[in-house]
Amino acid sequence: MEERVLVGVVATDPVLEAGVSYAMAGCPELAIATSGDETEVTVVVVDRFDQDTLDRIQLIRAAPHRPEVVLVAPDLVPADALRVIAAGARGLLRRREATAERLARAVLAAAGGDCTVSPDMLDRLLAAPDRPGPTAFASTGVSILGDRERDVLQLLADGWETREIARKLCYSTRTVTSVVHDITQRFRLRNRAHAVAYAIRAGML
Amino acid sequence: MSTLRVHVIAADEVRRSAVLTALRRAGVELAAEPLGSSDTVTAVAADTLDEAMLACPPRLRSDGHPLLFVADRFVPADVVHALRSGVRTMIRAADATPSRLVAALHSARDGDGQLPHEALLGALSGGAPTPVATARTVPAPSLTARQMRVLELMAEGQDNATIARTLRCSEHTVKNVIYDLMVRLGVRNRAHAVACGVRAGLI
Repeated sequence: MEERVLVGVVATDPVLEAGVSYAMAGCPELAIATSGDETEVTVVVVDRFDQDTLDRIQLIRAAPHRPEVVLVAPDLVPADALRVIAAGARGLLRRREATAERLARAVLAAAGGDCTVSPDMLDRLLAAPDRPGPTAFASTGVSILGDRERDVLQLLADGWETREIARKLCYSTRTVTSVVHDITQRFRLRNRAHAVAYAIRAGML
Repeated sequence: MSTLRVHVIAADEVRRSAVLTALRRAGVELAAEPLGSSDTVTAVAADTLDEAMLACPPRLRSDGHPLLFVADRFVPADVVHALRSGVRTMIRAADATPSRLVAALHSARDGDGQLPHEALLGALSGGAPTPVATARTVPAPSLTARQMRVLELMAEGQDNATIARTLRCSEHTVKNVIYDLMVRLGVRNRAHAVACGVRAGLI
């Protein structure tokens, strides 16, 4: 038997928070966190989506133990859904679809590195089939990596060492190291080789 | 919760038995026919998603029948192709432990979209047709099966000691394999080797 996934809930009000925790407590593969625990996955439940929601996702992801985030929100327009994914969320469910079983599954998937998105939302996120145009991310101006991060990753993928990258980009070696560190932390990657493979597979490079 | 039944289609016998073993361990009921009942999910196992697509009878794709693709490699363009063809649930073969396989099968049955995070990002970034497609037209340097396996583990961020444990060989052997594959790919370091392997569609 694999270990249980420690999950926490953050909601706009305590009643909702208790309800969602209770719903997930029925899943034998999940353990509900008490306050102060370092959760593997945090479920964020909101009544409406705004900048505050994105800030909250980023704040949770920035914790030292890097929890994954599953967002339960009302229906989102595609651009906002992309922002949520770019902010690092690994699951996006609509309030009305978030049954206990589905939520538990999305949490387990997030802990395992998968991402859950409602199917029709996936459809809307992908550009129209026969129109080769800007990609979903490009067309909404949402980006996952900053310019500096992309430059450093690109040079890493081309086989340059820290010192050479620093010289090419006119940064200090310390800056280069810290950019790489930030990327590996944010996406939970083990090292540079992992980061480069991840970035290429994710279409970031 | 209703009983889940699974019909397995695989590109080869090794993959079939891997999926069947995981399903047996999880105690999942197998179905001989793909269209037995509404609770029957068809799991298709192959090397890439495009191969899974070929292995999957078109009638299963056209009528919204629940499908789960289990693949070793997720090429971004294939992810987009699969999503547009109505496949919503995909899992990496390496991640398909009994419990995760069962969770993914339930997602497929309920029509949830679930796929590896970087595969989703790749699809949303436009299926990255540039690096992979162009690299494929240039003949990729060929690697031995062992070199490919080591390169794959390097791309997962494993260090030499872990790779040695996984492949049940010495660290010294791992170092030699890495040295040889780096020479063959003409690359400068590990990150470069991995980038080259992913872009050439080797891993």
